[in-house]
Amino acid sequence: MEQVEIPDQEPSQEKRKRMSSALEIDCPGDLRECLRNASNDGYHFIIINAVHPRYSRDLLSKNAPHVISRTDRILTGTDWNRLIVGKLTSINVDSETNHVRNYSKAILNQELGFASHLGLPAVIIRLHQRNNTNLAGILMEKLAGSNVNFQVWIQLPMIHPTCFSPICSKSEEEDVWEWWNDLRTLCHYDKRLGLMLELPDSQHIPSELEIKRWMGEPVKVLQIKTSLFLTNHYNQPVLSRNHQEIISKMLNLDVQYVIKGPKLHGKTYKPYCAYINYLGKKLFKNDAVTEFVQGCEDFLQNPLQPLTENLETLVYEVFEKDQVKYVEYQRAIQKALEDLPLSIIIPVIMVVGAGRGPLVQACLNASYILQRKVKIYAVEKNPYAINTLEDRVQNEWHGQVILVKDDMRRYKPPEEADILVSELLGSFGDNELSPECLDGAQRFLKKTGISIPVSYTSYLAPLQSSKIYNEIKNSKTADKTTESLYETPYIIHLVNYYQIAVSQPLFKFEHPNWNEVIDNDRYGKLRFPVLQNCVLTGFAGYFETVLYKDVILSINPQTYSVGMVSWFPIVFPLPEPVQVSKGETIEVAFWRSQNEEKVWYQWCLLSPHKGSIINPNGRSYFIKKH
Amino acid sequence: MELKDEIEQVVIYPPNRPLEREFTPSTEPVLYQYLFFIDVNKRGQFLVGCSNITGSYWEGTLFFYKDGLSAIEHNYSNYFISNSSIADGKFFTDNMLLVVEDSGGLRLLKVPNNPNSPLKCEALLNTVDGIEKIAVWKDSNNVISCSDNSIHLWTINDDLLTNPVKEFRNYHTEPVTDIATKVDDEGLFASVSMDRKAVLWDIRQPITPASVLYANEFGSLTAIAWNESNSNYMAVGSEGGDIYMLDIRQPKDYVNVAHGFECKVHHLKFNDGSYLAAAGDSPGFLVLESDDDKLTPIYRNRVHKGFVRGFSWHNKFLYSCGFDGKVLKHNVFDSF
Repeated sequence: MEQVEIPDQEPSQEKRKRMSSALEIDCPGDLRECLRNASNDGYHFIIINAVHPRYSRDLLSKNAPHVISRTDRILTGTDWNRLIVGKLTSINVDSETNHVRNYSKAILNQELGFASHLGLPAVIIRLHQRNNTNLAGILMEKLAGSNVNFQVWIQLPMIHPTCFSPICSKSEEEDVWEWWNDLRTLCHYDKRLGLMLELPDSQHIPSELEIKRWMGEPVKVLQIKTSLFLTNHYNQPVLSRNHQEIISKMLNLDVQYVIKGPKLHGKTYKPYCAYINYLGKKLFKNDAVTEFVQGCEDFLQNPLQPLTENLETLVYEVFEKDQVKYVEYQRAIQKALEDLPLSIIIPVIMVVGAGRGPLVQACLNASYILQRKVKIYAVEKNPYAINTLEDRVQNEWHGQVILVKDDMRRYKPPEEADILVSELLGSFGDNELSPECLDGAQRFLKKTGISIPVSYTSYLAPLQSSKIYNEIKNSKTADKTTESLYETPYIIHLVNYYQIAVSQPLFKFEHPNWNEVIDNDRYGKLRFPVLQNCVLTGFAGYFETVLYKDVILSINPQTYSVGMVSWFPIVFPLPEPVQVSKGETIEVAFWRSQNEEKVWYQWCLLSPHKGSIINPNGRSYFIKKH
Repeated sequence: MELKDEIEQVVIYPPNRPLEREFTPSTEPVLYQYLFFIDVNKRGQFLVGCSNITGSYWEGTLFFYKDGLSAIEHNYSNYFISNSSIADGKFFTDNMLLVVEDSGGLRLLKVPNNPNSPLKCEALLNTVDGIEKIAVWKDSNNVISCSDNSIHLWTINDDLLTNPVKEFRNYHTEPVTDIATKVDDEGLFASVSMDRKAVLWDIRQPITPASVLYANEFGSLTAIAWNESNSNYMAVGSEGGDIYMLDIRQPKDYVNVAHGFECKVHHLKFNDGSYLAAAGDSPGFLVLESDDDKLTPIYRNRVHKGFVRGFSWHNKFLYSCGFDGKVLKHNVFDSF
């Protein structure tokens, strides 16, 4: 017996996820009354049959009826547009039989046209078979037209009953994700095509892997049947733990919840809506990270170019909020300071790229804690940040810190440092040119000196996210070609995605680098196993850095520094999604290249399908050196 | 009433006023154009169900007629007005009826003694939604229904309808489209589905109640009827318009097939002999003779002005109803 809970006892946290709920009602007698009741019970919209499901009609005959459904005058245009989602009649436009196909096509066209006439925000089409080629053709005809504004929600169970029906053999098992994948591929990943998934009963929850793959799809709606609710001691409906786990994963995707079925817990549908709202509080994870990243979900950001552009107050402020990062830096500095021989009476620490001073403060703290005097140089090229540092030197640091307004690559210091501290890493480690900067700056480090960070490694993982594919497509502006959009990496707080395989290390840089000839070009190939059929839309990049000894910072999922918010992953897109199958290997080649002016990445898919090199010579994206 | 009052009642002013009329269930029973089902009891009394499925208020009316002629002439004895469209209805006993409402209600109605009064609602259950079809056995308290991928078994004891005693969920993997009982054996029934399968059920088998009788290669199966006179056979219809004869002793394949329609087969009904009435998504219907494994069309009719939806056989006559609001009687056997 699964443990049940009491929704009335609210968790203490104040914050919650705002849940949008809908009520699905079969053939309501009076639509207005149905809408009123649903609204009174707390629902935001209703799902109804746009046309009566038993209204069989031959639209191809000369006696085809003129009547379609209820009059549109029942509701105002605004209400149709905001409050009603229409289910379309189950038909089969992909039948092998001509007359079935023709009959069905006429019905589908009429109902899509009617939905468009009413101005419905979305229509729902339930799939009953894998082959939906003709359906895709009809949908694309409509979606490519100018007068269709609705979304199409494709209704599917999360797991197909053939996987557990007592009368089905193993060979009959259907993977409904493939149905969806076939259809949306034909529809070229159109962003107006979304998913309405049916929550399975608790005996038939899909595997963790399958759920993860659904989370990389544009799930718009989760349908929850009232029969799935358990009853708690207070006779109220509650969902089992494993159902809650699925919902908790959906929470970030802004999924809307649809209640369907008879009222099994009272005279209204209110208890179900109330419970869904309760889950919005209960399952909401409110920590520093959530607060920090809210609103950034799957939003494309261009990587910073800190070498050539000065950062602004807001950006500094955002960086400085990351307590985890600076506490770790302080630990690393302290350990390095401890390791310096006592023969060095006053160790010299240089903070290069001091910004508004958090690392300088970390150095001072380490010095205070160890009771060891240090001499600190703070090098910063941004004149506006220097302004801030001046104030801190005078008012907070008692004149202990020597300020240098210069570029660390040009600055000629009066003495060499024992410790060189920098925070120049980007989401991919080296992508903000930390190697080039530190190679330049190490000339004022003693040969025995320590660089913090000591090293950093970029990581790469194959990614499925049609959402991000579409976001990139839609970011097109007049001055960019489509080619350049997909040859540009983006910094993204990944939410609606599926990481196809575990990330692997790609490029490593170590500091100081006393090699005679320093080569920061890199080339690598990685091979990733494909555990289930899915769609490769790009690669996610992460990094790990060793600040000093065992003190590390990481945004790589396996070693993530919990609570750290400074970096979102970087995404290297592919120009077209690539279908990959279980058992295949994704192989990718990656280059870090440079010339006098710039550094860039090139990447290329080698298998399962050979692609061409993306961003050759940094033609679409590069990082300026000067 | 004075002319001025009359005008005031019909004038909507200003003429661009939005729709304001309220929707409430009819107070008098309305015979809607869309007749969905017809059934007859041993006494020759009929029930007919119709619904408003295109107007502003989707409601259903169930009519009880004392005989076939009354049904044809729509001279009803009793009625029931549902505030929802209705999907199916059957005689449970000679004076008890079951009706399925699209709002999710399964109602048990009793024929009252006095004519022209509503059928009396003995019980109403709202625990399973989306019921499409119900089927009953002869002299049995059991009833089965299908909705979505599920089949439910209900029992009615002393006019008391209780929650389903059994649920067979996800045996069929797509919506069940029709069910048929072996009328004199209350353990046996059969179902067809959009998963293309015809399934034979023996609910006395606790572990494996279901077995696949036939799987169609081309598309959904949409209708089923069990041959009462030779119960080894049953007929299933497909979305392609074909009618297949199945022999329960030879599962996995059909024994004969007839192409019935250039449209989906909607309904099949055997008489107490070996004649099968078949309706498609068309105004015409067909009667086929099934002689053991043979299946021969013997009669076609296109009298209805709308799709034919339901059949009942009574005293060698076939009664049909359809989307033209009419019940018609056909003398099939004198025509050949």
